Parts: sequence; structure tokens; C-alpha cells
Amino acid sequence: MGRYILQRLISMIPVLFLVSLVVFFIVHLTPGDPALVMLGEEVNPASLAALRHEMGLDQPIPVQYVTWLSNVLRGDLGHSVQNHQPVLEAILQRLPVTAELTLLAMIISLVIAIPTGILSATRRGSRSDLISTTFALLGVSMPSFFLAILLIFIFSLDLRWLPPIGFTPILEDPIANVKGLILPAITLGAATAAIIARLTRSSLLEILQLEYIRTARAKGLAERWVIYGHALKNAMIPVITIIGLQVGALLGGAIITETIFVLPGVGRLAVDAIFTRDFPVLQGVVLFLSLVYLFVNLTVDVLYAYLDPRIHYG
Amino acid sequence: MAIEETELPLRGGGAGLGALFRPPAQRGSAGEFFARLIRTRLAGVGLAIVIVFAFSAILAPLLAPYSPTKQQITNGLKPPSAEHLLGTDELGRDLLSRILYGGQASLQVGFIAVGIALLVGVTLGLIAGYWSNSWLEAIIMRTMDALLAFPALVLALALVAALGPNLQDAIIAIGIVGIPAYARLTRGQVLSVRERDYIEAARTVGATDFRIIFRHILPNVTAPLIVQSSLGIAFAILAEAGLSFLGLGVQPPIPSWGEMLNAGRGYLQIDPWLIIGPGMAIFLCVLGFNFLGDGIRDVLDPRLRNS
Repeated sequence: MGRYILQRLISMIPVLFLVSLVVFFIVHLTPGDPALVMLGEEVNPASLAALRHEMGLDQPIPVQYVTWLSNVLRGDLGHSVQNHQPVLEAILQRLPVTAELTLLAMIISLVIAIPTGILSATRRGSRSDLISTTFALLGVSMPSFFLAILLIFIFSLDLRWLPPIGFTPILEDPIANVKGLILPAITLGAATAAIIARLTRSSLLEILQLEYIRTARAKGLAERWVIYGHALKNAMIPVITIIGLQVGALLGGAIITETIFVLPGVGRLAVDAIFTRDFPVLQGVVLFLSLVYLFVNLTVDVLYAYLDPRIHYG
Repeated sequence: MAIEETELPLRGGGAGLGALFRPPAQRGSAGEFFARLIRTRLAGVGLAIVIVFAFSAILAPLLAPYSPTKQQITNGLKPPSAEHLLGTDELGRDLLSRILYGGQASLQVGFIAVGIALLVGVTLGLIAGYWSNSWLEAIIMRTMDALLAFPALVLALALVAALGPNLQDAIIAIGIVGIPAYARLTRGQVLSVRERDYIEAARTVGATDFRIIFRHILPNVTAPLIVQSSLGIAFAILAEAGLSFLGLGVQPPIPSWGEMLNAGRGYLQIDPWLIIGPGMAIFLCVLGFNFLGDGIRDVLDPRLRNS
């Protein structure tokens, strides 16, 4: 297993290199002078030259890249053009909010999706199967921002159960913290729940048709034991892969969710950076989120190898 | 999806090689495929929804009762009435007209972005699959891995931020984000098809690589690409609406469903129609493409019918 993890880490090196190139070139895709775009047309030439120098824009592009990459490798993601705060510090400050939100969204979606998928598969063709399959199909198509507005309308403005926007740090008031994150987490997790429920259902249905399940039933095992003891573990293998991939959807979705619910997370930092043309912050956030996503998927792959002994990773 | 089990009526294949080497893709006919598609309830509903949205977007200039951009401030935030079937927005613009025109932006993004992703992704996938184990494949596939390393919406957002917030650049950004999925899918299919007898036969009779790829391989890897495209359009529409919602897609006064939702949320308690109208439009349109994609997959691969 150790060798496999090492191999996977080594195979990530070219991908990481290309990721760094994409992130670096975000600034250079901008039509015209990035420094001018960031500071606006009205800026005085001295400030413009200072920013160009600070960002290394007065250097040839290969030199800029090498300098940028060596800084990144030392943990220096640059400084915000707006408030000169180190980018890494800004990200780490906001990370707990995004981490809590995505974790809660994932927990909510798993709690809804897995039992629904199992119920659907084991009672295939029943009314509960039809209802859950329909909801899963609808959930995949629901725009998160539309769902968010509907949830705010019902649970905040009409019923007044939960706050419509805002964030309370968990250490300050844990109950207010959770209350503030329930609607954002449902918003973010709904589509993921729908996808995982569909996959759990189809994966379990496929497993339940296999020979070893027939054998288990033939030897007189209770149906409950057949499903939970024999079928479910194997049915969960593709589900775990999709959970890893869904982390990407959650991190992307967090950008919209944090904006709607005014949560001070990393996603909101990215949106603010776009509107203030703060490219170092945007680059930092994009790089950071893609590294998190890569790391999560590496973990999932390792877990996959552990769970499925049929897969041998030489 | 095993390609030999599909009966999608696609063109191409064994011209000049005779029926002996005719690839499986030539079985069946387009009529048969559509008949089966419509018989699949899911796909039939999906197709109907997509057709309604496509026609209402194309015919918006004829169907819309008012101009989508004409403001009449004194007539703002009016509830639904005989004059304005869905009411008016805060600037007095007719909501129904804006929703009809808004479909143009969404479908444009859906089709063009997926078109870009298909064109580039399939070309790269064909090259990587046909010349597998070459440096070309290594470069292409590692680049695709790198693009997949970004959460899709994060990459789209970053690209739009750099290119500039407007419809055209949103299309390009969403298209780029879609490329790796098509490249990977095509490469996988090519790897399974290229060792078939009819490809070997084409090679034996002296067909060029170009001819083999475009006449013999491409038509036989198309089936899963059709499914992916339908689901891809659904994603593209959602992504555009998301970008426009954040103010990074279609810019006012051009109507777009995402932007309308964003503008309307300030008036949630006064006029919920401003939210329900565009929100339902996005939801139904995306649902239509998802139904269609799922339905086509069912028709193409009966083993997946229950999934």
C-alpha cells in the first residue's frame, strides 16, 4: 500500500506542474496589461510600474513563471493587490468556514442519499422507489441558487426558523453556527445527494443480481443480512469514487452558496477577488482548491484500493 | 458501455470494404433510433421539454408580447395579469418576454460550449487513443488530467475572470472546462475499437491513418458521446446561469435566467414571480436535457435501463 501511495504521488507531479501552468496563465489570459486591469484606467504611472514590478510583470514570462513557482513552493502565494494581506493567510483565515460548509453538505447528502438509494434498490418498482428516483432526478437538475432562494423564502422569511444570511463562528456560539449553516449546507448538498442516491441504487441493483448474492440467498440467509452483510460493501465501491469527485462539485458550488448566504469562506474570497480584479488572490484560491481536490481524490483512490481487494495496484 | 452492443444508426464505416467489414455502427436506422427514443418515457418527456425550450427561444421575437429590454419604471413589479402574464420586473419589463429571450442565451451557451468541448475533446481523444503509448498521448492526457484537477466551476470562474465577464467568454470558459470529459471518453472508446477486425482490414487495404480515424473509428465511438453531450448541455446551462447569477456571465440588459434570478432575489417577498419564473425555466430546461441524456443512454445500452 505504501508503494502504491508513493507511485500515485509521483504520478501527480506532471499534473501538478500543468496545474501550476494553468493557474499562472490565468493572469496572462487577460486582454491587455494585467496590472492596468487590476488598478483601473485612472491609475498614475508610478503605481502601475510599482505593481508591474511587484508582480514581476516587467520580466520575461518564463522568468515570471519560475519566480512565481519557486515562491509557491515555499508557501508564498503573493499578496492581495487590494489590502496587501498575504494570499495564503487570507485563504487559511476563511478555510474553516468553507471546510465546515462542505463537510456539513457532504454529511447531509450522505445521510439522505445512502438510505434512499438502498431503499430504492431493495424495493425496486415500489412507490417509495418511484418517489425517491423522481426526487433524485429533480435534484440533479435543480440550480443551487434557485434552491437557496426558495429555502430562504420558506425557512427564513416565512417560517422564521433559520437565519437567511450570515455566519457565526463555532467557538462564539455553536448553536447559532449550525443554524446559520443548515440552509447553505442543504443548498450545496442537494445535487450531491441526488447523484449519490442514484448511484447507490444502480450499484446495489447490479450487485444484487450477481451469483454470490444468489448463493447467499440460497443458503437461507435473511434478506437483511444479504444486503447489509454481503451486497452493500461491494456496492459502495463506485459510490466512494463518486464521493471523491463530488468534493469538486461541492468546492465549486461553495462559491455560489457562500455568495448567496454571505458566508466569509474561500469561495466568497474568490468572487470578491474577481470583482476587485485581485488576481494574486484569485490565483491563490484556484491553486489551493485544486490541490485540496487532488488530495481528496488521492485519498479516495487509496481507500478504493484498500476496500476492493480485487484491484491490485502494482 | 460496450460499443458492439449499441445499435445507434451512425454513418461511416466500410465504404469500399464491403459488407464483410462493415462496422456495427451501420446497423439500424435513424428512424428506428428516434422511435425507440420516444417510446422510452424518460427520453420522450426530455425531448419534448427540449423542443419546447428550443422553439420558444428561437421564436422569442414572435412569441414575446413585449420587448425584453424596454423599461417602464412606472409599471414596475406588477403581479401577473392579462396584460403581463407573469407580471413585470423592477424596471417594468415584461417577465414572460425576458424569460423567452433568456432561453436564447442559455441554449446558445449549452450548444456552443458543448460544441467546442466536443470538437476539441474528441479530436484530442482520437489522437491520444489512436497513437496510444506515444509522447503525444502522454502530453494530451496529462493536460486533460490537469484540467480535471480543477473543480469545474472554479476553473470556469477563473477563466471568465481572466477573459472578461460576457456571454462569448462564458461560452469559451464552459467549453474549455468540458474538454477533458470528451477527450477521456473518446480515448477509452478508441482503445477498445481500434483492435477490431474491420480496422485491421482497413489498414491491410492501405487506408491512411486519417481515413481510419475519421471514417472507421469515429463513427463507432459516437454513441457514448451523444449521451455525454446531452448531459453536458445540462451542465453548461447550469454553469452559465451560475456565472450570470454571480454577475460574470451575460451582462444586463441582455436577458439571462441566472441574472434575472440574481436581480429578483431582492424582491423575494414583494414579487416571488421574479424568482419562480426564471428559476423554473432553468430547472425545466436542465431537467429536459438530463432526461434526454438518461433516456438516450437507456436506448443505447439496455443493460443500464434500471440505473
